[in-house]
Amino acid sequence: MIGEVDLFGVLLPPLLAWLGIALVLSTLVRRALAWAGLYRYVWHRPLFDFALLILMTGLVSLTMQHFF
Amino acid sequence: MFKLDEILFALKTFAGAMAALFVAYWLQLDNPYWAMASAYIVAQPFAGAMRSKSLYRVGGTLIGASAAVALVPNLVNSPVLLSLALALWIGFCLYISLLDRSPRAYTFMLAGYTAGIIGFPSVTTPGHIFETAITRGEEICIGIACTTIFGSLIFPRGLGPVLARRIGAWTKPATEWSIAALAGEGESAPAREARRRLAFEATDVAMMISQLSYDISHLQSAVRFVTRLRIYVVSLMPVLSSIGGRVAQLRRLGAVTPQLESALEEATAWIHTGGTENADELLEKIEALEDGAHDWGGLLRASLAVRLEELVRIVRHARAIRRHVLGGDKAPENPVLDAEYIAVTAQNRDHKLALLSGLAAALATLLVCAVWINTDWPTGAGAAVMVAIACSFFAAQDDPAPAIARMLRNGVIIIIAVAIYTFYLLPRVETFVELCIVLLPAAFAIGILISRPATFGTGMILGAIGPTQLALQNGYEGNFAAFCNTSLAMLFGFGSALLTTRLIRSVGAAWSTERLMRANWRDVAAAAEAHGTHDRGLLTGIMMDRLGLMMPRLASVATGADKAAADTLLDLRVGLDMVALHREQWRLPVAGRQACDAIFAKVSAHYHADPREPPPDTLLQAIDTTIRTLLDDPAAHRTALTTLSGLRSMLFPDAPPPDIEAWLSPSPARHIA
Repeated sequence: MIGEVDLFGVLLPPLLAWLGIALVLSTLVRRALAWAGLYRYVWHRPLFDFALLILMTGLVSLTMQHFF
Repeated sequence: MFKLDEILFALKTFAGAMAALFVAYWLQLDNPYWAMASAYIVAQPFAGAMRSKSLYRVGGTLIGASAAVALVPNLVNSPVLLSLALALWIGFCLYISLLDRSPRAYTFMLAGYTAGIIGFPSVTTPGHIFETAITRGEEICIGIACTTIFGSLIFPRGLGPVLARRIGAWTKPATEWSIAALAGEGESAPAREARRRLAFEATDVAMMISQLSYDISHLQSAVRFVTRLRIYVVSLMPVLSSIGGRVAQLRRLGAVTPQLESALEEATAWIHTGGTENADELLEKIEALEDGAHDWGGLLRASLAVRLEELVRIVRHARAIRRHVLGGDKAPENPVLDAEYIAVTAQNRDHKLALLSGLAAALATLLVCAVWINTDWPTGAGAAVMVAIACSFFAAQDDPAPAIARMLRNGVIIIIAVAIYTFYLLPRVETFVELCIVLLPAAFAIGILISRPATFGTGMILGAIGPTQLALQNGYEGNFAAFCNTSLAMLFGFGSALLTTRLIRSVGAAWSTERLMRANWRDVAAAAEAHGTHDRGLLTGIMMDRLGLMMPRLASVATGADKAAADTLLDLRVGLDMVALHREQWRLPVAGRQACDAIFAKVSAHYHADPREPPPDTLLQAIDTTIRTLLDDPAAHRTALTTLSGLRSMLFPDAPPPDIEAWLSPSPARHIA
């Protein structure tokens, strides 16, 4: 996790980029869950979504660490 | 004294605000209090409302900050031009936001005065405007993120169950009105009550539905169906109004046949039982009614049958959707129904009133800027910001003046509280934890105020303006001159907003009701002339939306509300008949087309004048002439004939039946949907 993402001269911490990717991924997962009707079995939806986002961020950053 | 969920809400909002303040201090941002104010501004009892407002607030801040960055450095050397540009921007954004009544409008309103919040104080240091804009953007995002996370994770209150209860409560008035209409008693007391209720609900609930897509309950994914349910209620109202009038007239004429009587009874029973079964049998029976159209009574019965069919189809589908949303049954689809009878979501847009509000905001801002520039007042910028905020916040109301006056009163409360904090409490505070403890009582009170619907406005103002006036910096600076200046600036800003609003913007409820009615008449006239709104769904959607807006304005006078509802529904049905007749016109013979043109011209003239007057007798003659012309071939023109009979019975309910002879013709079966 060293270095920064260079976006047209604006340096961003990589975590922000991973967060962005994780947001997209977790949105897709949430859509899929809602489509399948699985949210009926979730007790605390925002908590679930938040945890999902954190997990996705962890997953993305681990994967990225592996490759770069 | 306090309910548990109120205490919970106050505490979690406080926690969010303190977290935001802490992060802002930690990152050593300028004006950390913006993060705290932001946390309180987006705090709303319902998670859906809070999350949607958060999103709109981020968008509005981005747009407003960009505008400030674009305007200020370029115009900073000519203060008058800069004031003019910012005032016009504020007015323009307010105008745009007032065209939309949904919560989304907040984006544009905020974009307007955010440019002022960033731009006005930056005139002395235009070189730093980019940093100021970035900082404000960051702090607002921090505040929003903290409130949203705390608000949605700690015991969030879902909008879904509340909305479900509210929609569930529509069944009673809808059933009562349906049964009264089928009995021909559309003007009985329960029917009128139900009509008022539904007209109000259908428009009022639209706002909640738009927040539902941000909700945290499982109904969040049902937005599409809840929207449809609302649309069905909107579509049902003109149908019920038609049925009530038609049945009553048939009874007066003594033209109720045994078949019709039994169909009506069966429909009443079907409405009572509340199922979707045996709707097909009922529909067959209703369709059979149309075949007996060989005289005037028959025509009326046929036009009633068309409406009954619409009623049954809409109610059947609405019930299926209800079961899907509440019980998780299979999602119903009925594209034909949606295309044929159903209203579309439409919002009344009042460009003139929106423009007037924008103008008032721009003028008030300019006025304050003039004072500021001419007196070299150091905190004049603060007054300019406050006037812009006060003019924008309540601009959607008929008369924003009382709300701004209350804002002025709340301003005095804020000044007293800020004085206590600045000169008595804060000097003793050394650490962040102590700061939290000191702020807790005031913040708790504001949280409780926000969580109660009746005091929500007061709480929001205190929560939004209070932290800004307190202007917590990193380190204590108890400067009495600065305190006096900012307090005076706030009061001066609010006062100027009040004055300008009173002078050019205040309108009465009666005036705006009249305006809504006139807009409806214009649309009916346009439908008669076949330009403008010539789509059934759009016409229904927009006219019922306006009726829903009239209802709360007429709430104090039930008779006025009843008359408005009855009149609007009548106007809408005339408009729908005009659309239907225009659709049929192409298949009429030349003589029939000319006769129809006479009707169109007279209806349009009637609605351009004052439709509260009785319609002219020449219109009655024109309708009778057209009916007689079309009777040459009644089978081919049956849709036009039923439409015309409906139109005649609506506009001239007391006129004796037209003198036409009964005809004999086997009519081919009609197929719609």
